[in-house]
Formats: sequence, structure tokens, C-alpha cells
Amino acid sequence: MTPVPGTLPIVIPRRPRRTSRRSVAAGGLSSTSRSGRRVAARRALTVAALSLFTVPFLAVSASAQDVGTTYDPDPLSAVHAWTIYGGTVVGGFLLAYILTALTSRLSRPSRYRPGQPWEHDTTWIGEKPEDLDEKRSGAAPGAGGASGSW
Amino acid sequence: MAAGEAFTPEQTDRLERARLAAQNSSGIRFAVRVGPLDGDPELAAERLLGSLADPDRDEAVLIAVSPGQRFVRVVTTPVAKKRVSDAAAGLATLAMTSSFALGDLVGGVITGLRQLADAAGAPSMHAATRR
Repeated sequence: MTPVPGTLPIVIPRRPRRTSRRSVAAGGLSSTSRSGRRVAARRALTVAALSLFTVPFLAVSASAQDVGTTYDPDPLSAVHAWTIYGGTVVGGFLLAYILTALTSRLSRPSRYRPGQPWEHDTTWIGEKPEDLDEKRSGAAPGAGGASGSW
Repeated sequence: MAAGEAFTPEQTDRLERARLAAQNSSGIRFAVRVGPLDGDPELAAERLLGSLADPDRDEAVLIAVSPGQRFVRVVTTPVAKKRVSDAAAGLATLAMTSSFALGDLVGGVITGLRQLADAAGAPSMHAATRR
């Protein structure tokens, strides 16, 4: 196609989306879920690595034997330090995860799964019989159509 | 499943747009009902259509879906039946049940509406065929 001067694609050429060879071979949907899993794994590893270095660093002062007076409590043991500093981080993440999962579940209707009882309100798309001015009743004689079940 | 609205506003909007598109392209009045059907489901669906449209004059189609009973019924008024044959309604039903079996209620209904509208064709085209 011949480029027309002055059009937006000429001024700002569109960059092709960067895709890895593996994701191209795997296909659209599966590559999305795989990359999502990769990102989640990378995040988990980052948090683990950070806490591995941060917790001992923060625990050094707590574990030092020569710091403190008679009014200060005893120095923390390594187990206590890990519990307090690591447990706080892990607990925070768990709390955030639980809250996110709960709010997302409560905010939208759950997906229909065949075989489960249907406990939602009756939904009309289009005109309802109650909305019509002229009230009619009874079956339509000579009506056609088809039925199905799943 | 939780009680309350069956669909999100976005899903309802998609369904409404599909219904309007089917209605505008075919000239037939479409309605979709998702909920339980009391008694004989086929008869209940026909009664619902009878309460929506005049069977002798109106071209109307009702898609009644009962997820709890795993049942779907496409009902056409006698006038609409001339344009949407029982075979076409059967094909649309088959397409819908395929999606419903996978848990995709919205996608199934939208597919059904499109198929029924395609089967009916444009109103002017139908009038020309009748002549």
C-alpha cells in the first residue's frame, strides 16, 4: 500500500509488537496464560530474594548481644526475627491476596456452570410482558420453533 | 451460585446490542428470557410469546433459556415462522446449546440471535421473495 503523506501512520510509524519465538509457536491464548504464569513466578522469586536479604539485615540489630540496657528486652533469636519480619511480609501478602480474591468474587456474578442450580433473578433482554400496554395471555396457536437441552 | 442479577451490566449490554442488531436487520421482534420455566417448559415458552406478541399479526421470536433445567426453546409466531423455519430454529438451538454446555450463556444467546436473524434475512428481501 502506498503511504499517504500526512497520515498518522507516516508521522508515527507503528512498531511491531515484540513476541518471543516460543510464544509465537505456542499460539495466542496459551502464550498469554504462560506469560502470566512467568510474570507471577518472577514476582514471587523477587519477593523471596528480597526478603532473604532484607530479613537478616533487619534482624542484625535485634540479634546483637551487646546492645541494650537492663530496661530493654532480651535480644530476639533468629527464629523470632524471621517470624516477626518475614511473617509480617508474608502475612501482608496473604491478606492482600485474600481481600483481592474476595472482592473480585463478590463484585461480579459467578460464572454459570452447567449442572449447578440457577438461583438468579429472571432476566429479560428486550420487552417484558409487564412493560406492554396491551395485556395478552395464552399460548400462540400455530407457533413454531425448536427446543434443545445440554 | 449467588442470587441476584445473572449478568453483569457489560454482558447485558452485549446481549441488548445483539438483540437490537438482529431486530434491525430482520425486522422481526426478538426477546430473550433467561430464567426458570414453570410446568411444561415448551408450553410455558409459548405462553410467554403469546403474552408478548399478537400471534396473528406480529413477527416475533422468543428465546427462552432455563439454565437450571438445561433447556432452551426458540418460539416463533405463525407469521414469523414463515421466515424463520423450524429447521433454522433448530440449527440456532444447536449452536446455543453447544455454547451453554461450555458455560457460555451470553455467547450462546448472541450466536443464536445472529443465526436467527440471518435465517430470516432482510425484511425487504423477504417481501420480494413472497411476491
